[in-house]
Amino acid sequence: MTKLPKKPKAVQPSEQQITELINKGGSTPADTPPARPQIKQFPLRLPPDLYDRTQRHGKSLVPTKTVTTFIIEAILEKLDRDGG
Amino acid sequence: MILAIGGIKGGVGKSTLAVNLACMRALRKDVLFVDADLQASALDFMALRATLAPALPAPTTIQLNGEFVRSEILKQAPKYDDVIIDVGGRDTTSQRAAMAIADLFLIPVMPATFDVWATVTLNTILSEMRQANPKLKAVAVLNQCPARGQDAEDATSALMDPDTYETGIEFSLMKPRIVTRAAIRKAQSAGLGINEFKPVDTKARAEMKAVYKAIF
Repeated sequence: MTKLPKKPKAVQPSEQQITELINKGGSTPADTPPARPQIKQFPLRLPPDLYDRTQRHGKSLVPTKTVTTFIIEAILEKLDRDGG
Repeated sequence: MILAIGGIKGGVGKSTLAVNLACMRALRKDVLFVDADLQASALDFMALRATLAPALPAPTTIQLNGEFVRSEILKQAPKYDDVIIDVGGRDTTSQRAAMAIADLFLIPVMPATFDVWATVTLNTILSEMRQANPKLKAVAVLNQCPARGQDAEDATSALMDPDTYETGIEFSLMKPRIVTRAAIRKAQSAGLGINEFKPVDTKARAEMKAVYKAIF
């Protein structure tokens, strides 16, 4: 009589196979790093009194503005005026 | 035992069931409770319990996310008698990672059409994840059932109808079911399991106990 083949044993999946199956699930929000705006940084040289004046003025506004915000707004206004 | 409580439908009472089972289990066993749902309701509950009922036994509670659910629990599980994982109601890496290591996957299902439909997709996911975890057992429990009416029976028929699924049914349905009861919500607000809440709601306690016994 021909020998009956043995019942195949369950094959343990590899780590890679398990990871692939897990990753078919949708990402949770924490998996995706929040998109960060691209910011170009450069050193801005200002005379100290101009910086102080800007800072004082920003603080006197309601709501207050930081020097950075004030400068960005000033640049945008100038660009609008000049059509830049 | 590693028990994961999940599904792909939100608002079916997964976290409520998870914290109740965890609090009951913590009375006699050393339990690690893993909140793998970014809503972190269960984590908030455990924090509330620690504040309002510090003398009561509570599971060790941690929060995990993504693939880390599998790798970290594999490391931590030997230190505890049981691990209970609460996963969010979507097909996420966290949920699949929990399926990859769980002994039992508990699926709370509300007796409503959309909830039954959601089990069709979940059934496919279970079938897929059994490739990663051949020993995975899955059982559904009817949750938040109305106290009266035919809804639970209708849902049972639809859930266990082979024609509902494209492949075979990958889960069983336990006989005990949980009925919507105000005491469960009140207990939750007090950081308590329904088994600890007073005034005692005998029916609510009995239902939760029956689900507990069907699992452990």
